[in-house]
Amino acid sequence: MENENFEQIEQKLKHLAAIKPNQNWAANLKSALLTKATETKKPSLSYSLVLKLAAATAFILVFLVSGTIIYAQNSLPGDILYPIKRGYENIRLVFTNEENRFNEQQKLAEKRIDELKKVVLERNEKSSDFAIKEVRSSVQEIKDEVNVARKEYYSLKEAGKDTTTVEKSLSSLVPVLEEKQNDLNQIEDALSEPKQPQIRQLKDTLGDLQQKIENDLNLTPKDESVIQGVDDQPEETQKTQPSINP
Amino acid sequence: MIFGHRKPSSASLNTLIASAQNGNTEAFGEIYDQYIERVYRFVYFKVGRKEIAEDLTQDIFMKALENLGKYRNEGSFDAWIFAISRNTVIDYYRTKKGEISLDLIREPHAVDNTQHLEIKEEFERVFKVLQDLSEAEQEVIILHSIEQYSFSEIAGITDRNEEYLRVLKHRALKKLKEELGYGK
Repeated sequence: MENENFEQIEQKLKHLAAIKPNQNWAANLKSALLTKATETKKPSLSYSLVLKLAAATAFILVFLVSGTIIYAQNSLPGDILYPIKRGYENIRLVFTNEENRFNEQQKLAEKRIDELKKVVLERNEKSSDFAIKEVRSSVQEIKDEVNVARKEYYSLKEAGKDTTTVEKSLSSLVPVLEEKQNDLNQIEDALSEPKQPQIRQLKDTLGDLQQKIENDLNLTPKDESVIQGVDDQPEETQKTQPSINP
Repeated sequence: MIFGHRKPSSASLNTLIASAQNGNTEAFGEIYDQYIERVYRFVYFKVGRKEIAEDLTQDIFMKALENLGKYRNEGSFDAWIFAISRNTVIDYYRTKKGEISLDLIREPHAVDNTQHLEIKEEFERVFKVLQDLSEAEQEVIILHSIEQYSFSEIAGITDRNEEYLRVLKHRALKKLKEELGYGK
């Protein structure tokens, strides 16, 4: 009997679950809460997570990139990592000031010839094509820089200014050019006949540069110096300094 | 269950909570939708007035929003939100003590969304009787008989052991039976 009554009461109590808040009020409260939630949205969790992930990614990237660059330093033309090495060198060159750029390019040209030597002597000849191309490009760059330096040298000389620094730079290049021509001789000997003219051409370019510098700086006896054509002189100096390279 | 609510599975609720804790406002909105009626009713049965129940329910959800980041999923979320609800009601009575007349508390306002006369009358009868129960008895009736929580769940919410809750429920039903005039 008691249980029956309890059951009856329970049924009535269950009906009380029909009581609900006013729908408009509930919707307004929800809207207010969500507005507050948006305003006070903690950047800490999601934002900090993003920051942490970004930091971790940056760290991994730096680690990988620096690791790859270090590893790439020993690569030779034709290697997978070689473009990374060259890319890194180019970036370094961009950030090198004007004063040191000439030296940097000189070092790079030397490096290219060394690489070519290694490729030709240690690897098969097939992989030398790309190395020759790289050397040609570097030699061209150094040739351009030498011409700029010579032009500057003549300008300073004409203006009666101090030319010591430029002279020093140019004269320091002479033994290097000489040495690299010797390296190219070895490379030429190691290569097959069809590829030798390419090396000879590079060798001639370096020899030509060496001779111009020596003539400019009077490093060789006049009677031994090779008479340079007017075309070989920097343009501006052709008119102003005809006596330097008769 | 005619008017029963659908309780979310703990897995989906936990996902919503985690998402809301990470700043997903929509997830908080869903949690709100799942609890607003239960919390409101709980408060309403305890304070007996619509306006006060609305104010207190608003406070409860504001607190829930502010403190959600501290919720650590150690107990159930129901226990957590009902603990906030209970404390809010207790604070209300503590601060408003002396300002509220007993008659006002015991006089229920019209029941929202319960236009059916029979339910309305029934509510008023039962509601009045509910007010005469002790706080603990009230809670066990609200949570077990109205909100359909199990004794185990109520034990988690109220921090009372299940046996004691059964005794409380039996005692409360006996009181209700007498007050409602059943079995006479």
